[in-house]
Amino acid sequence: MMSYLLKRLAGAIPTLFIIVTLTFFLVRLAPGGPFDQARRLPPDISAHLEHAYGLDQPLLIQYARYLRALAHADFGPSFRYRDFTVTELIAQGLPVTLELGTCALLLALVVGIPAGVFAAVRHDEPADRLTMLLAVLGITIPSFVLLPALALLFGLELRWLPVAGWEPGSVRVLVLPVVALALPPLAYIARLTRGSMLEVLRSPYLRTAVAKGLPRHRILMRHALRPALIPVAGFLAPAVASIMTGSLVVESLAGMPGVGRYLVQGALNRDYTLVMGMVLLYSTVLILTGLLVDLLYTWLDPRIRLAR
Amino acid sequence: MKEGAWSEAWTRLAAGRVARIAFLIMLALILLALLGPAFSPHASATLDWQSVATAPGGSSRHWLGTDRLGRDLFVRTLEGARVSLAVAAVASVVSISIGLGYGAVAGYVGGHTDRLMMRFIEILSGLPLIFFVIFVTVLFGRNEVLLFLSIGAVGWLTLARIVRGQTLSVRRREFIEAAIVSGASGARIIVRHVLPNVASPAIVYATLAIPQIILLESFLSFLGLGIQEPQASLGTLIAEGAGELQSAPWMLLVPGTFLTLLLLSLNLVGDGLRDAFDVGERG
Amino acid sequence: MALLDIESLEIHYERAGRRVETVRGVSLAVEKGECVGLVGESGSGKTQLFLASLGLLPRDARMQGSVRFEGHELMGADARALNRIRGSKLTMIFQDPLSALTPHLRIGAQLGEVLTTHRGCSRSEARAAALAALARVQISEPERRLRQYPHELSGGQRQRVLIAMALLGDPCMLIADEPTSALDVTVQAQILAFFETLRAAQPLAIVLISHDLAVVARLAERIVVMYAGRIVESAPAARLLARPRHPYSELLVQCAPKIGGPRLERLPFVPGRAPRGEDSFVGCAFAPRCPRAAPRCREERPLLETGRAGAVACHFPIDS
Repeated sequence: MMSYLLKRLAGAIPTLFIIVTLTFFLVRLAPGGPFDQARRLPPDISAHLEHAYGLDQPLLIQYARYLRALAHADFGPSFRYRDFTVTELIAQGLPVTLELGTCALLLALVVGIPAGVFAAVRHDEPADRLTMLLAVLGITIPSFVLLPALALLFGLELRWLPVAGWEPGSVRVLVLPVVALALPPLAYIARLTRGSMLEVLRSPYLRTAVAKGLPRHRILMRHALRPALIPVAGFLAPAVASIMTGSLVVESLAGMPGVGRYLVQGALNRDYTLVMGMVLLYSTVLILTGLLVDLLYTWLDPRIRLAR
Repeated sequence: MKEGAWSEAWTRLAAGRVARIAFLIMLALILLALLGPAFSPHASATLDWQSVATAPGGSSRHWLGTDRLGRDLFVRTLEGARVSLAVAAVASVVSISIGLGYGAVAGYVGGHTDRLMMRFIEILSGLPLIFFVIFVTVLFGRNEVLLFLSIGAVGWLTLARIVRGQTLSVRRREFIEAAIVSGASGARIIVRHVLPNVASPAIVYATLAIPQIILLESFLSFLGLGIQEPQASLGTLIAEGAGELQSAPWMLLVPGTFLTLLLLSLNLVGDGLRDAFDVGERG
Repeated sequence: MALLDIESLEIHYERAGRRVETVRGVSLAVEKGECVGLVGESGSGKTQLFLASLGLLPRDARMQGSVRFEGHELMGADARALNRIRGSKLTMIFQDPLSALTPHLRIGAQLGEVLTTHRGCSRSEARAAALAALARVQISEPERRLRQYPHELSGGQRQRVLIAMALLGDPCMLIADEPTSALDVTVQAQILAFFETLRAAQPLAIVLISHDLAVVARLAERIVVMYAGRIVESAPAARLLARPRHPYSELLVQCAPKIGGPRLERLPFVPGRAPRGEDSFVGCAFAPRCPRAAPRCREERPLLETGRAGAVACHFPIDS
């Protein structure tokens, strides 16, 4: 198990290397540079800055330098936020984003899975149809419509929750963004769970369990749920990706100081190092999710072995 | 797909009450977006300084209210929807063409090429392509062609997989062999024999891909990366509305509701079609 | 009073607007300690009959008639009432032992829960009983099996596990649905031998469902032949094997492979298409395939008539 994890993590390095390389050259290929935005700098200052950040060097040298710094876990200085290194910027924002994202993912699982099980058990009854209609609605409503609408209702009209803002440790500020972020994956998970649960409910081993005279909740929880969760596990990585994309707008709408804004802003500003840092961060999260999913599979179905 | 299967699928689609209602709503919304502005007394660019930021119903002249500049919100929304639909139409054509072409070639050529092409799809489907689209649009500016291409490049993976599977099975049937014997070229065989056979899954997936594409375009426009002023799509209108939440909430609610209804009806029709044609992967 | 008493049971489904009938009126009684063999082609309704008795049919199954077990009506009983009987007094083992076991639970857990549910045993008591049950079905290394998952066992071991599971509740009736069809010939013989010793040791009623007359012949005291959702003949095993009266039974007897003989991929069955649930018949359902069919057979359905040595549903039974 341990050696498997280490092997998988080592295997992620080439993937990250390819991602870094592609992003590096893609970003540099884009027209413009970090210092020719907004107001024009006098040429000598601009040249001085470029020299200071090593941008006057040939591209390959810059690339080599960046890689060498990376090897020492140094993401370099931000071009835009001049007094900060990329590591500092990410370290400031990441806890907020992580908290938001983790809560959203947990909410999606904790509500989505039971909703799917419920719909499957009530197959073809009005309760099932209603749940699935709600699920389509949940998949459909974009988070950037849902969050302002929720803020309007619960913040401005009912005054139950703050419209936006951020306070460390406060649950109230998290509620609306988490709900807005969680809804699409939640609805999708409910649909997935329902589909696979229906299949499991038709399986011969479930018939055996019923024939054994087991109570219904035991049949559902012990015999049916785990295999029904296999497709849900497969959806985890897309769910994380969907939450990451959603957090780009949700954070800015809710005024949360997370890292979401850095990706778009960084790319718009040609803040090369910041963009690279964000891409690396997101890739790592996705790779770790993939690893977690593989471990989950072996628990959900003991027939699946960790390969090699 | 046989002649009868089409009408049967249609019958079954019409039999589902939800799908039928959704279909009517979808049709109504699209017609409204295409024709509505022509019948309105207000042009979207007209600035009505007498009724700036009027709430719906607050002015008899502006049914669904106006924005900060006194532009009629109903007309703005319909025109935004038209832009969104146009982007979606072009992007889905791009997406379906790639999906059909890629899948047909992989399935038809087979062997190593097929394996390589399918491996590529596997890798791509593991990546969050939305990031890629955001990235490309951010880096290479607000180029409309690029926007269409990059949005269209996202939705074709599933279709390509399905088309490949269908092509493989079609290829094994005798009439393809007969066509090869009679000296038809590969491209001709694909166009004449394979594509008609994959038409129904293609239609189903197009219907399911269109709402995704509209959503993606709105998302990009919302971020300020898609459609630019003075053009407006639903996404930009929603972004504007989200900024005026306190003073003019209808500016969010009108385009937001329109977008949600449009996506919902498209999704329901797509689901209905998928069940009616009984094709592939559920979820 | 019979242990299990099925009376005029009918089962049908509405599938895609069509009426699919799987059981078209069957009455069958199984006495305490009796071993009944139920034979018929797939689709004859033999499995459906007992799935219905245990409340295991899909939710869209429509049933009529009555099934009483020890005098209690099971038809229309709720799950709670059924759970007092199934798994303990009345148990069933299924055809394919791999898919009939939950893949992600260890054998020990799957056996143990029978006792924790029905007897309120503690976990350690259940474990000990599970171990004893595995030893009883003569599985090798029972200790180790408890910790294993279904996919880690061989087909024969899995079937033994299922049998052990069915015996754990100390049933008075066991329904075995094709218990040996998925197994190879040697294991098949071992399992049948085990059933023989089991019956010698305790008064257990067994219903052996099979398409294979040879399997049934070895154990059953009475053989019931089903065709197209109805019983066509029911008779003491020796009599039916020696002198079948229904033409269909006769063909089955002629085709039956001998145990230990060459295994047949497909039964060299009666020519013609087996009837399906969608079919409806005016006359005898077997008439289209029957070598002895007369015009009357196609017009009038023969009723099951009970005589001295069993019952037969045929206008022209053999030897009459």
